[in-house]
Amino acid sequence: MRDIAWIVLKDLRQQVRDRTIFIFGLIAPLAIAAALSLAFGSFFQTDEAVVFEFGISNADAGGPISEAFSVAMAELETEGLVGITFHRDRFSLERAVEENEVDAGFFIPDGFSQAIVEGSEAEVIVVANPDGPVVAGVATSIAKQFALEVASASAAGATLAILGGLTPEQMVQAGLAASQANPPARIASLEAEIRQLDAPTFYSAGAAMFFMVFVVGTGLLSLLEERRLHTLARLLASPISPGRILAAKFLLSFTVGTGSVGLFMLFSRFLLGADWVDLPATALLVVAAVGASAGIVSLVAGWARTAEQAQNFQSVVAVAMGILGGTFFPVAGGDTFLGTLSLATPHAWFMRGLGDLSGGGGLGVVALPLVVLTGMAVLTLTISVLGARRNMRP
Amino acid sequence: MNTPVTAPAPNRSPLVLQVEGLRKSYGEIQAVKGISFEIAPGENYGLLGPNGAGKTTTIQMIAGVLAADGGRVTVCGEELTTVTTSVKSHIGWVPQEVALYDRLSARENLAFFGRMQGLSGKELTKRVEEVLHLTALSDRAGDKTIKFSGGMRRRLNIGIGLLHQPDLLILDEPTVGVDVQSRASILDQVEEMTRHGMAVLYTTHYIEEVERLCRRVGIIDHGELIAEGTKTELVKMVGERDRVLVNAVGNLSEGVNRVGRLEGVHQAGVTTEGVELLVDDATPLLPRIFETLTRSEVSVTGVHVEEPDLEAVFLHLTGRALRD
Ligand SMILES: Nc1ncnc2c1ncn2[C@@H]1O[C@H](COP(=O)(O)OP(=O)(O)OP(=O)(O)O)[C@@H](O)[C@H]1O
Ligand SMILES: [Mg+2]
Repeated sequence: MRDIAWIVLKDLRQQVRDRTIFIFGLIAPLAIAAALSLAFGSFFQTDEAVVFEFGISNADAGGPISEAFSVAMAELETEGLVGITFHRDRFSLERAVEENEVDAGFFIPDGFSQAIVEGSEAEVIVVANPDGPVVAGVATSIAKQFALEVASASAAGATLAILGGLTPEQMVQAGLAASQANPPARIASLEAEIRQLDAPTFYSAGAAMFFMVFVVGTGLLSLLEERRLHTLARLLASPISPGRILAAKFLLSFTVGTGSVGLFMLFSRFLLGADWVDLPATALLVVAAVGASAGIVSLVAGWARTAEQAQNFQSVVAVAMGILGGTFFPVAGGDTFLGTLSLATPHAWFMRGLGDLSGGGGLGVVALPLVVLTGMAVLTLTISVLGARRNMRP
Repeated sequence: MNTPVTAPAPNRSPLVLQVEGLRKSYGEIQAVKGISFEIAPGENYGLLGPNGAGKTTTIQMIAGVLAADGGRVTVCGEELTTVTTSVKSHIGWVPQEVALYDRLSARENLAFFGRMQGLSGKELTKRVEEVLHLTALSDRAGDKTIKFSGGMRRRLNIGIGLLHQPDLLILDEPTVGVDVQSRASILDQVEEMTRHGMAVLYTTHYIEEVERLCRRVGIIDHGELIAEGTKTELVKMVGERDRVLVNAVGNLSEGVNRVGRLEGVHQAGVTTEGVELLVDDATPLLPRIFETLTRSEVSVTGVHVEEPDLEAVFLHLTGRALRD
């Protein structure tokens, strides 16, 4: 292990003397994040202000489940998270959305409660303005969240029914009552969806990821550079196996990647007011995202013959993934083509993980992003290590 | 550049290096076509060959840097390949191309490669300073090597190979692109190493260096070892003759006539300075040559014997001059 550490230290020393690493790892992301959050910051909500105004139109008036939805939304309003207005019918709700009186609307169709009780398809319809993809995403999340709760409430109700012999309608109502008996958890989960990252944090996270990809190929680049300088041959002649030299180079990428993100997070916390909650979970996200990015960059840059070529490949990957991954503009929900494509980038999962964490809830809420990022890392790193072995010659 | 160097531990194996049937091709090019030779402890072996002969390729396989297509390298009794590790510390390899980190100082370069050789702590510090002194770089030790002259870089390149006091030092054309002074000090340095029991494998296309440094020589051409032996053996092998230049005055034509009839003399002629002869072996013949000339009323004022060199051997073997 000592020899690997010495190689990494030697490379870090050269990187530090070279200084480009500070430009990409710290100065550039700070500048970009500051500029973006100044320019677009007002678009985001702050902790105090209610940003989203939702309209509700209930064509299923009197239905127990649609009433429960209205109650749940009203509760959110009391919490100060959203604003609620009620509308006569679907038409007036749509007009209100079009005229920007509300940010988005929920329409509950006639027979909604009955359909749920009978176990057939029914959902709260989201009425959104295409100009506001973020709020549309939030509204969709709320509708989905509610559908999930209804489903679990039905299950809870079914348990009660077995015990007490209730009608289907009573059963669902009992279930909802049971789930409402425990509001903090419910509110918290909805809150997590609504309270996305604030502007400085969002842009800082985006810039950190974007620029990290520019430096995370350092290990592979330094391997090519050592071939150019002939020092790789010298290492190969030393009593250290080629595999350990390769391991040192990937460890270098990892160190530089996590180091630059970590340092940047620290600076952005104090200079831009970025709010990094739940440090251990965030750290895990960073580690997994750096691993996945290092793997992807090394995979692509591995095709290069020279260090310069590899550098160019790395930049292309960095820009492409940065844009696709929604580091500068929040990607609209997962249903669009780009939205789906963005899931192939570590950025999207990292941003999503941070968004999930911002509502509290700890490691559990970021399990999915963590697993996906780790999987990406393992897969791409394995392939790129196998590919990089062909460079282990003079 | 003459700090005493501690001798490497005595080696029990009868051979420091044993190379058997080494082969390597680059695509269509057969760079090395089955080379075998051996080096004993403390021996200096020269590999002499023109550009592209396959010297570097052979050496890179011996140093365990390049994978061979076939054959076997044994160092101090242990087989060496690109993936074996421990046995590599017996070798100090000085690559033909200068291999240094240009953003690190001379001292940092030495310390790093010393660590890669397993040196650490006080021993590492001591060896780094010794090598800096040996290569006359002590006063520039803290400078980044990018600021070094070509000769300084060459010297440091050699120094790195010496750090861990290997049993076998492999030098691949260490004096290319070095001024006369640095070259002389590099050769001194290598001689000093052998005096302390280090075996040396030295490749070059400079005959003088091989003749000065190496007891045994292998001549390599087109990837094959075409002849091997001490200089005398090689010269004998190809039947090259000594050239005797006699400065003389008097009846030169009569003298040439008589000397030309002596056994062992193949050619005799008159020159502006005196007499020129081609003989099998000058040393035992000289007294009889003087005697014959004196009897022919020729007075000898001086004599110069030119033994055939490896250049002549190479020319004889390949029909080409060693240097293009
Ligand atoms: N990496 C390589 N790829 C392809 N061909 C190579 C490579 N290295 C060497 N060769 C070829 O192999 C042959 C032997 O080259 P090598 O470098 O071993 O010769 P050398 O004796 O060291 O020459 P020099 O005195 O110029 O250093 C040459 O024909 C050379 O062109
Ligand atoms: Mg060579």
